[in-house]
Amino acid sequence: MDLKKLKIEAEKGVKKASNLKELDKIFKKYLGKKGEIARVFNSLKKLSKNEKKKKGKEANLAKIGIERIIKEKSKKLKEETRKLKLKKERIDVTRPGKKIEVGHLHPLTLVQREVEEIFESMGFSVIQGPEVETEWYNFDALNIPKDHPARDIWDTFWLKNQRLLLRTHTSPVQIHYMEKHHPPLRIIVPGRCFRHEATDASHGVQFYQLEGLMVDKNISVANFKAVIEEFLKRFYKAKVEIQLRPSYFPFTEPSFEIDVRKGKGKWVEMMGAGMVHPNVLKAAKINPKNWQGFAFGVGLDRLAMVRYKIEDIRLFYSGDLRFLKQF
Amino acid sequence: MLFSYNWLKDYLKGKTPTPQKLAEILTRHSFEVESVVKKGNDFVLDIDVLSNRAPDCLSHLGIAREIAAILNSELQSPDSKFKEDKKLKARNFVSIEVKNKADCPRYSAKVISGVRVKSAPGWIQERLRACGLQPINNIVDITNYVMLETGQPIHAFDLDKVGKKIVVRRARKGERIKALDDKTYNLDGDILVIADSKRPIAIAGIKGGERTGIDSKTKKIVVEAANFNQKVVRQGSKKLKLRTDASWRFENGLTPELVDLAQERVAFLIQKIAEGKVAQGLVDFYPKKILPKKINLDLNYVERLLGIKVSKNKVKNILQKLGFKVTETRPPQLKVEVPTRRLDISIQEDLIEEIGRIIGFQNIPSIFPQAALISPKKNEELFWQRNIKNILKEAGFSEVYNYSFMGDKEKGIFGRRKHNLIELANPMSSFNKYLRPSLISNLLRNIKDNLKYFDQIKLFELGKVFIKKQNLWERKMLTGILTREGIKDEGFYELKGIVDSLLAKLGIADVWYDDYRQTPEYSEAEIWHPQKSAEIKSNGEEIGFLGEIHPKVTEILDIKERVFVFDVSFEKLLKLASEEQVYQPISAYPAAIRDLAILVPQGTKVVEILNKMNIGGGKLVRDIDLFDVYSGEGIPQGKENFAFHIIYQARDRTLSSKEIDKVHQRITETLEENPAWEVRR
Repeated sequence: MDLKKLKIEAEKGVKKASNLKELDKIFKKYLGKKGEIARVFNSLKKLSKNEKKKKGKEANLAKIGIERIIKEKSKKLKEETRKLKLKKERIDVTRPGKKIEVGHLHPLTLVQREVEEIFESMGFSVIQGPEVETEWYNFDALNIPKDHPARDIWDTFWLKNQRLLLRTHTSPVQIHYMEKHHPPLRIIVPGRCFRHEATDASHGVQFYQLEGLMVDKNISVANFKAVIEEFLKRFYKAKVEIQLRPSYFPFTEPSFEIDVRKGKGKWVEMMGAGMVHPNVLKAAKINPKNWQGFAFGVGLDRLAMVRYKIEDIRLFYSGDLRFLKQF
Repeated sequence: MLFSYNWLKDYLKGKTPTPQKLAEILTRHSFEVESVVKKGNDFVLDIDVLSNRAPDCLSHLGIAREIAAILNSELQSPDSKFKEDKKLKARNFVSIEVKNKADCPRYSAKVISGVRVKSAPGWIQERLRACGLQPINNIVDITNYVMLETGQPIHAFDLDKVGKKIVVRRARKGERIKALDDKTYNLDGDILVIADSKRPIAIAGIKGGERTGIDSKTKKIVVEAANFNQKVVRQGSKKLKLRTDASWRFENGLTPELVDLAQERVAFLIQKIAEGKVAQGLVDFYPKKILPKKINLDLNYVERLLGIKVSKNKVKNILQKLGFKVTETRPPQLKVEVPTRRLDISIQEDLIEEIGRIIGFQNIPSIFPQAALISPKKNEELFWQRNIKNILKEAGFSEVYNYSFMGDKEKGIFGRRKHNLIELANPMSSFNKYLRPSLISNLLRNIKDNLKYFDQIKLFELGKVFIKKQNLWERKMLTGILTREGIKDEGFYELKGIVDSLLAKLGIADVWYDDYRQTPEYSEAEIWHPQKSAEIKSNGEEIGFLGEIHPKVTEILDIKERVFVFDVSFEKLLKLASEEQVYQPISAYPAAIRDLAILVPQGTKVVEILNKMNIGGGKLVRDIDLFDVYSGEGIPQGKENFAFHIIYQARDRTLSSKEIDKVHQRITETLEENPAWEVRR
């Protein structure tokens, strides 16, 4: 058969083919082992060398041409089929997602981690200490002598038959740490504390405090302000204003209370702080002539309450999953 | 304490800021002002005077002095010039005997005769009311007025009812006194009293007695201004459960020097208002005069501690305004004489606080410290704590923080080793009589509470427990709890899987589980199910327990579901945990899986079968998985069928099926060495 005619015929066939099966038939008819092109090649044997070369070339071109159009058509048909199929496939994206069972960390854990991270980035090490303490560490070493009215500020749980108590603040860890480490030092101490007082929405018999202590040659009130402003700025993730008010703690001198406010909001009392009292340094066998520093204590419950707008401190210790699952 | 704005204004020269402004200023520089309330044409400021400043600031003069210092203006002292009647000598009317000068460092008496007792003038009454005191009569009101003005508690006796001698002594056991509040108090040797020759006439520093009080017929009075030991007053006030304006001031400490001003002011006002004749002289017991303290102040240290340079003149001015005397010595030193009323000041740092707060802490700039760049030390405990919490969270457990206490009810249930419990000396209520010896009791309570709202509960807590060994033993535990509606034994294996994966992630290898063997003596109060609990062991040591809670316990707590718990020593985990991890090369040769089913008598432990399989298999067995346990239909009575996948793989070659058959056969033979076991073909 004439190759030209063959090609035109093939093209017509391909054009007509409406699915892959038909196209496959056409492929076999022209390009199959016993197809038209194969027949043309077979017929070449009888021809002279020159003619063989000429006709062979033509046949090859025809083969490539047909291959190409079949390939193109096949691609087109496949795409059409896929489109058709996709049209039928459908899901309801508004149906609820499948629940993955993951637990929840306690909000106090989350806040504590955040605070630790901020202070660690400023070079503070995180230290822990015992929850049951002696009077020496909880009071005397912190410049709160026996029979001093100031001791009444810390309502204390005592253990029966032992001169031991549940720590009323994390400050005893300052002493433990300074006894074993020489300045310069920079630590924070998160931990559980106890107060013998009636429970209400903002007070509990137990709470979490975070103590901070920095001791070096020349640490000043100005330094304290910078460190604590940086902390609050990063914790609140916003520009905050702080106000230092005079206060009284036996273990710091000068002492102050720190209030915080966001924008033009209300001042919120956030923490107590001050410059470490020389008697505290002495109690830990550090010479106050050579070293000075600041200390502060902030309620982690308070921070968590601010962060999540929680109004009742008792929720933290309720074990209520309806509360815990929100974090 | 409540303060009258108009009253404060009396002592201030120049223009006084508005009440609101004043409150703001005081809050920033001295004490928090909790409220400002309009009362008539006056304003009442509720000022929270700090306890260390009670000695000098529970008084209008004290607060006015603060304001003058903050505003850098002048303090105007009140008038106290009175006339004494030379014909009357105070010492002829009364004498004083103080039994112990430690109890009473000073006792002074002034005698005024010819007073006319009536109502006090309106302005005194108004001011007292503004400060929360009820007017009584002019004499009593004046003593109260002077207390609110100077801070010195004052008491007036009717001299005709007292007799000539005043004694300051401890009460005798059995003595009683009817006080001005109409109540009778039983006294004893802990309580200091003022007495006449026979009986107590007042509780020293706390309250006057009814018998010697001022009444409308009173003509002669003796005015007491004294200084009592703060500890004694505190102890007495606590014992009698009687707190008064006077006791509050004495408890916090006062200087004996304050007596003079107070006596002068009382005499001045009584003379002016109640027309009395003031007898000459002050009968005064004051054996040891208090002298002002002197402190050296280093101006360089002021700068170093505050972080701001304050000029010498500014320092001098601030301190002088607050009543300190300042003399210059060798620069940069100043010598500072402390007014005796400032009991709170004894070291340099105390003076620096005065300078800092009057300048205003808000005026100190924020400057980052210049410190050596030392990176924080890694806290191993915290590191693993964070890890463990994350792992459990990912495994579906929610974290709780429970109270560190336990009540009587739990004691009954968890009272095993009762003598190991730590008891509180002063619990708030029966709910917190003991420190928790285990985290389990509170977690069970959480289960009960949450079962009302959830049908599946997984919780954990990481916290301290307290046990009495030789001494007190405070240790950290990690406890997880699991239940759900209709849960069966699979709960145990679920929790075991959690523990396994937790330990694996902590790098703790070599973990196994042993039947928990309870000691008979504790079996009565046992909280674990005797047949369904295990000791978790690693490295030859028990690190905790895993099991089902005893049905008796859940019944008492009214928990309807079965509950599974793991209870692990955090400290032991910490010791065993390791971050080290070595990569195991992945074999380039394919693995082959063969299954093996075995019929064994019920009660046979999987670990026994696995041990045999490992012995038989040798090192070509890479892993064995139990995938099915079955008994019931098709299985003979009393038998159980276990089915395993055995994974064969070699490091160095592809195993031929012949090789695998051989090993599989060896495993089968090893298992069947036990005649009761039958490998099913």
